[in-house]
This record gives sequence, structure tokens and C-alpha cells, in this order.
Amino acid sequence: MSRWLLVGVLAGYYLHGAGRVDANGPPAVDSDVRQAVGKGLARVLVEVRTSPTAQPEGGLTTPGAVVTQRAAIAAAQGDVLSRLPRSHFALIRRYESVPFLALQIDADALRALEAMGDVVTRVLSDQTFAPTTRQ
Amino acid sequence: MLVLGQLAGRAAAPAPDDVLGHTVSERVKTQVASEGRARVIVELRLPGGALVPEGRLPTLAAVAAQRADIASARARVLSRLQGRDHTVVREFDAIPYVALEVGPDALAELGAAAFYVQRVVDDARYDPVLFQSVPRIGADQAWSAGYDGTGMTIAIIDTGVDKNHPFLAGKVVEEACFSSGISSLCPNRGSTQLGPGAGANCTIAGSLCWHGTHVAGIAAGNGANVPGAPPGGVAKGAKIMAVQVFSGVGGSTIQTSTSDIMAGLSRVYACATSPAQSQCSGTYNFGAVNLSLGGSLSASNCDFDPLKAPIDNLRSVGIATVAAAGNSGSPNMIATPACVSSAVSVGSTTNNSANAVSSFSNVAPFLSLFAPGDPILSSYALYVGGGFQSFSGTSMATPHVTGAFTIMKQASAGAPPATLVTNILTALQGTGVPITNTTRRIQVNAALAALAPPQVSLSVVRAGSGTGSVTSGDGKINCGSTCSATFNAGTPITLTASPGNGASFKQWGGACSGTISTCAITTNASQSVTATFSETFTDGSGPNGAIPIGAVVIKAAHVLELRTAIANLLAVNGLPAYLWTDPTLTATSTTAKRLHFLDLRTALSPVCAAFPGRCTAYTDTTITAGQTIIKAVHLNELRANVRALE
Repeated sequence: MSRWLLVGVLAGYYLHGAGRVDANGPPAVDSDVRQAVGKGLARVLVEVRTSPTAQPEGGLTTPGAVVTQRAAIAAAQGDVLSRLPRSHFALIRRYESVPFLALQIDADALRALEAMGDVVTRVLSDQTFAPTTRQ
Repeated sequence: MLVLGQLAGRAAAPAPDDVLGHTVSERVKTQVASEGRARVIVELRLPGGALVPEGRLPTLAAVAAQRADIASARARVLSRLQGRDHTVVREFDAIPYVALEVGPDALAELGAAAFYVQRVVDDARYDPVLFQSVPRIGADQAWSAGYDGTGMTIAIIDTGVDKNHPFLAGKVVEEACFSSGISSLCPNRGSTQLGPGAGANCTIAGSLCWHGTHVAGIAAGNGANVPGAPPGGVAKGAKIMAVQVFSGVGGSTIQTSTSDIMAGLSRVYACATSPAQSQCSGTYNFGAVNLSLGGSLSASNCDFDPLKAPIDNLRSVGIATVAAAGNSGSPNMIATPACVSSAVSVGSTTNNSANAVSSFSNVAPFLSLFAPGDPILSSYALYVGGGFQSFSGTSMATPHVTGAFTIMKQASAGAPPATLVTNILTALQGTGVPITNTTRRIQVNAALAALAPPQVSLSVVRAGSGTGSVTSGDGKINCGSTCSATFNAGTPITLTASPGNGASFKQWGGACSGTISTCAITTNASQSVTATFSETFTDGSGPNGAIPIGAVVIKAAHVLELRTAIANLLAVNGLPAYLWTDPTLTATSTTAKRLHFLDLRTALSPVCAAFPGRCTAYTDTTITAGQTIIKAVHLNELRANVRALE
């Protein structure tokens, strides 16, 4: 193997593999999520990173800007999904106008998400809610 | 944390102080003795024992058996009243009551029928809390002012809405379901369902599946032609988008999740902004989104919550998300998602003149508003018996605010969406009844009066070859110098066009029309007006100011007029000024040279190029020195082109 081929292989590993060095650092992960995957599966919301950071659509100045932002969200979501280990997660919901994915994950999938600081900002617990009628 | 609500009052049910162990209440006896007749509620004694709420009966057969018991007991009582002075006002299928109007003999018979009759009580003690809460917050005055939510749609993200309830008849125009929990409660049993039928209420026995129907009634119910119903919810003219987001988690417990609420909020946003592309059933003007649900508590804004993103999207297009503060009785924390800073959070006050904070209501310094929620009568889903029931909670306070936002938004037509939610919230917070040091209870009529009218802009553009100015009657526009201004929407404005020296007013364009120098308009939306002025040409008695050929000597004054006209045309069209050859030419000179005419043609050419097809080609295109005599036709061609470019 030539020297340049070796450089290329290593570069490919760092650009696409779990060992990527990321200037953004690892995503923030809810402690609830870590506890849940320690016992099995967890429902999570994954906030994906877009550049520039996604804004409320009504504040975007043109329809073209909305289309561009949605494309950036979709691309980031697709990137995350393509890099998750296939049998370790389930897609619950994919959102068009906000930069989130709803997933069910196990510990292996969480480890993969933690290595995606370039496209994931936070991994949050999918909280539960009840009607607010008095007891 | 938040479980089954407590029945605070029951439609057509007797009040406890009327019972006291007596078969016939003293109030009824007194009324019959003094007035000869009385409206009463007769509670029937069921042979099978006490009534079990139908939602808690295990099978449909059990429901049918209980209803048969009720019908049988009712028939026995009515048969004993035959030949006695009485009228049947109302019969009930699912509860052991019959409403009657009775005279002395019928009342005596009821009193003697203790084996069949549990009690006879006054029909006047119905607890009409929505009757009270709507006027208490001034919503009925808003109706009188023409604002009842007509033309608006309210999104209820909850347990689904029973669209067959008479209080909600014809209301539900858009439906969706997002239920990805342990057991889907979407009608199709999938995690997502869109379109008609998707937003139906769930029907788990003993659960809170009636909740969305109750909430929807408070926000937008309409009691017209519904016997015994309140006149209406707060925004009684509004339609409803029913979004079911709850899932079964075992037994009678239901709950929802951040991800399903996000899907619900995103669906509302899609139907608000791109209804055709999103395959929504229609186009809607959403007044507000109601979230009578809550999760964990927070002592400060919880803007880390993912729900902030879809709430922000909605707010950016002028749609408020109104969320319940929760019922833990906390003095300094409110529930998620009410704690999101861009949501409108709602606590509960008692539905009486005391206006006290409900004992159960969460409160925090950053709570947005209070509304009555303790107790509130509203529509009760048909699967649990229908009719109207009273419940308490911030769930019941929240749709009061949702309805109020809808009314206020109806009154803000034309307002820019970016600031709409803030403006309405400011009006509600600034005019409400003080409850705590930091938070007020809504008072819709006062807020409507204080609502800052939407601002619209009026811009004036001057056009043509002549100079002139345009002024507005209030002095806000003086164009020349100030050519645009903002006004309260609906303000009547008169514009006056005043031509400058050597010019005349030609015509209005844009939001004004005609040729008289004044124009009256009403600023219902941002508008632009064009005022065209024409340079007046001397010796110009012909068409377009043409000089009579052969009658007048071409003078330097004619050239100077054209210079002025062309300079104005260049300026109003944003074109660079032209540097004239022989700038010392004066009106007293009698000489007009070929050079000057070539100069005028060159100066006008950029304007001709900007408006293709308007200018006519010149004769003697070169006007070569020494070869061509300056003629009136040369002057008239220039004048005609100037007119064509005004």
C-alpha cells in the first residue's frame, strides 16, 4: 500500500467513522437517557446540528430561505440516521420544520450518537405529559 | 402526577344542600305552595343499586342493562303521575333522573313514592359555571362588539374531540392523531393518522379521554339551539382543529410525549403555512393552539425543551401556543411546556367574584396569565354520557385564554404576524384583573379596547416631468422630504398634490386614482400612492403641449423647459443627472441651436430606454450643423416623448 493510499484510508476513517475528531465536542446527553439505555431502550429526541442554526421559519426573509433551512435539517437528519447502527434504533418521528428526530435507541446507538458531535447537538429524553385537570 | 379529574358538578344533578335525607326538598315544597308549580329534578331509585358511570362499566352489555334499569324506573314513576298535574321537561338515558314541572298533586305523589324515587330537588340549582366564566372575563362584551372568533380556527392538542357533541356541532374542520406510545389511541391504531376522523376522542373506560371535548367546548363551543347549554365558549364562532396526541400506557392511564406533541404542533404549523402541500382539508386562520397538559415542573423558563422549536415556529407566524401551568399547587414552579418562554402560560382562578388563585394551581413569577378554571362547566363526551359536566384545573383555565387570543387575533386583522402574539399578550397582561403581584386574570373586553391597532405604512412616489409635492392632512407625509409614514390601520387620510412652479398635477396612481388634486383613502393595509406632475410647456396649445407649427419662433425658453422636464424624469426614475452642454443658456436668449436639441435628445434617451415602446423616433435624426434648420417639429417631438414618459 502506498503512503498516499494509507493517508487516504485514514482520512476516510476519520471523516466517516465513529472516531471522527469533531471541533464541536460531543453532544449533550440527558442523564435520564443514560440511565434508560443502561436498562434497555430509551425514547429520545435528537437535536441535529445545522449551519446556520435553525431559526423560526416565520423570521426567515424569503420562501427560499425556508426551503434551504428545511433541506439543511433533512440532510442532517439523514446523516444521523445513516451513521446509526442499523439494528440498534427505531425511527419514531422525523420533523420537517424543526431540527429534531424522535428515536428509540439502545446503548450502542447512544454511543454512536455521542460520536456525532458534528451533526448532533443534544440527545434528550422524550418526556411524558398528562392532562392538567385537577386530581 | 396528574390523574383523573374530579367531578365538580353534574348537569341536572341536585346540590347536596337540597337533599339532607328528605325525599322532597323544602325549597320545592315552598315553591309549589307559593306558585302552584315548580321545575324539579327527580332522582330515580335504581333496582340494581347505585349508578355506575358508564365509562367504568366493563362491557357494552352492562351499559345497556343499566340504561334499561333507568328507563324502567322512569316509566314506573311517570305511570304513577298519570292524571296528576305534571309535564315531562327532559328524560335522560344514561343517568337516573327525569326533569319535570309539577303541581301540588304530582308533588304529593312523588313524595309518597319513596320506593321508586330517591329524591326530588329544585331544578334551579344547576351549576352554570361556563355561563359565569365567559361574562366574568368579558368575552360576551367582545361578542357584542363583533368579535366571537368567527373566521378563526383553534387547534386543540389533547385527547381528541367528540365532534358529535351538540355543543361542538359543525366545529371540527381539521383532524390529526399522533400516538406513538405503548398503545396507540389513533382510530387506525397506527402512530399517525391525518384527515377526517383522526382527531376523534379516545374512549378508554375510566380514563381522561373526555378531556379534549371539555377543553374544546370552553374554547369554542356554541350553545345556540342546544337546550340547557351555556351560550358558548369564549370564541364561540371559531372552528376547531382536533389533534389527538395521547397513548394508552396500561389500564385507564393515558399520557402523551414530547415527540407526539411536537408532531401535533408541527401539523398545526403545516396547515397554517402550507395547507395544500400538507394535504390539509382547508385553509385556516389559526387563533391559537391549546395545550391543556403538563409534565415536569420548572422554576424558570425551560427553553432547553425541544417543544420550544415548534412553539417558536408557530409564534413566528402569529400563532400563540397557550399551555396549562399545572395543578401541583406550587407557589414558584409551573409545568412543562408552559415554562417555555415563547408559550403563553396559564394559571387558574376561582370562578367567582373572589378571583382567588385556585388552591391547586401552579404559580410562578413568570406565569403569563390567569383565567377561571375552578370549576368550569363544558361539553362532556358522548361515550361517557354526553351533556355537560363541571371540572376544575388549569386545563379548564387554559382554553379561556386560547379563546381570548382568538378573539383578539380576529380584531387584529392585517397586523404583522411577527409581533402579533406579543401585542395581544401585552394587551391581556396590561388590562387584566390583578391576582398576584406579577400576573393578572384576563379581561377580554378591556384588552380589546387597549389592543394597539395594527400599523400600516403609506408611501408616496412622485412621478412625471414636473415638480410638485404631496402632503397628508395630518402632516405626517410631506413629500418632498417625507414620503412615507405609518398609521393605525383604518385611519382615513386625505392626500393633496401641489404642483411646483411651471408644473401641473396630472394624475394619481396606486392606491389613489383620478386627476383631481386630492385623494381620500383608508389605510386598511400598507399601500403606495403615485402622484404624477407634468412640466408646463409655453406656447404649447397643441396636443401634448405642441407648439403651433410656423406660428412661433423657437426660443431658448423652450429648450430650458425641456431641460427641466427631462431632469425631473431622470430623477424620478433613479437615473443619473445629465450635464447640459452650453449651461449658460438663458430664457432671455432668442437663440435655440441645433446643439441644444441634440443635447435634449441625448439626455432623454436613458428614460426612453427604461420604458421601451413609449418614445417615438425623431425626424432629422442627426440635425447636422449647417444642414438642418431647427423647426417646431423638432421641439414637438421632444415634448411628445416627455409626455409619453410621465
